[in-house]
Amino acid sequence: MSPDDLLDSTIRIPDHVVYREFASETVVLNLGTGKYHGLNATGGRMLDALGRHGTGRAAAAELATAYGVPTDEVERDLVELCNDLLQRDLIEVCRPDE
Amino acid sequence: MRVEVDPDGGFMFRVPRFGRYLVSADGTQILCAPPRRPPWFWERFLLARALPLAATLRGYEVLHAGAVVRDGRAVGILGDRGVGKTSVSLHLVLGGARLLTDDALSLERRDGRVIAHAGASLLSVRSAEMRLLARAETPRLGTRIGSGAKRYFALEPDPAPAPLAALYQLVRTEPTGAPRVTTVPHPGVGQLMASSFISFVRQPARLARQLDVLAAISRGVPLFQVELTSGSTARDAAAALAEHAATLDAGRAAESRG
Repeated sequence: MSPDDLLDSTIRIPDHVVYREFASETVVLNLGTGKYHGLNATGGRMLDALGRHGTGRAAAAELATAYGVPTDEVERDLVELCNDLLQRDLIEVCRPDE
Repeated sequence: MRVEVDPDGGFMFRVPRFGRYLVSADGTQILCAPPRRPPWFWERFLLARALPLAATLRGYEVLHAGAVVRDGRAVGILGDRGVGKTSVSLHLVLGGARLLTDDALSLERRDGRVIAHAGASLLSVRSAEMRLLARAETPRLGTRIGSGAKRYFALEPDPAPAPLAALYQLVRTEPTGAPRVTTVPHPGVGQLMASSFISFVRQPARLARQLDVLAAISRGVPLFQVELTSGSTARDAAAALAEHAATLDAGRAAESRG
């Protein structure tokens, strides 16, 4: 999937994934596999924004404002995170043409 | 010890010398087939394993920790087996705190706080620690209910739940001198999970709740390390902990007034 397609897709955190913010990291638990994954503070904030907004573009817009950095920079980081989360079965992506 | 798990039937413990215990799948019942020994003997297993499992199944998160209550707030004591958690709790009780639990600390998240619940009000004290007590201190330990490798005492119960105010982790170190209390910044999930009980209950609801409670602790309950230096006693460690906790309380009180 191209980065643009990914950013325009509907992104959902499935019911079998829970995440909680700890003092220095966000811990993501895949209830289906029982495996834990750690995200740093920025990654945790990105995941939270994805969960609330439902698309990468909207999440990136919020994060770019919050961090005061260019949107395209955030979008690149978000795409990288999404690909990583997809590989670990921690998010679901519905392509824009589906 | 062997644990047989049946998703519908519950959990069966078969423990040499201590008997058999069946904990129902929902944690509301425990059936015991104890050995022909005095109750204090086999009740130790009931309190150390079967009841913590039942508490976990009923929705609490249980840490392998002792806890005392000071001024209506619970202070948890973590540490490896044999490091001296019970001995430190003992001296905190002798110093005026109330025992909440000796070995299994049941927690829940409620109204944005982590609440600590009472366990059995029993202390199992090593003979070596008993010998260090002053004569006048022993009667304050409550009723002695048995003795073997340790002495077993039933204390005045303090059943009221209390908000968890702090956790202190006991760690043995090489340096000499008085025990030191240091702050552990940003406790992570691994550090907290190391003290979690009942690792074999892995239903999704339990794992999610465990994550919830541990995250709440990480964000809202300060963790300190008590370095038990070479030559220091449990009494010294308890004094250092109590002094540190009192300073913490004073700081909180000043903040709320300001």
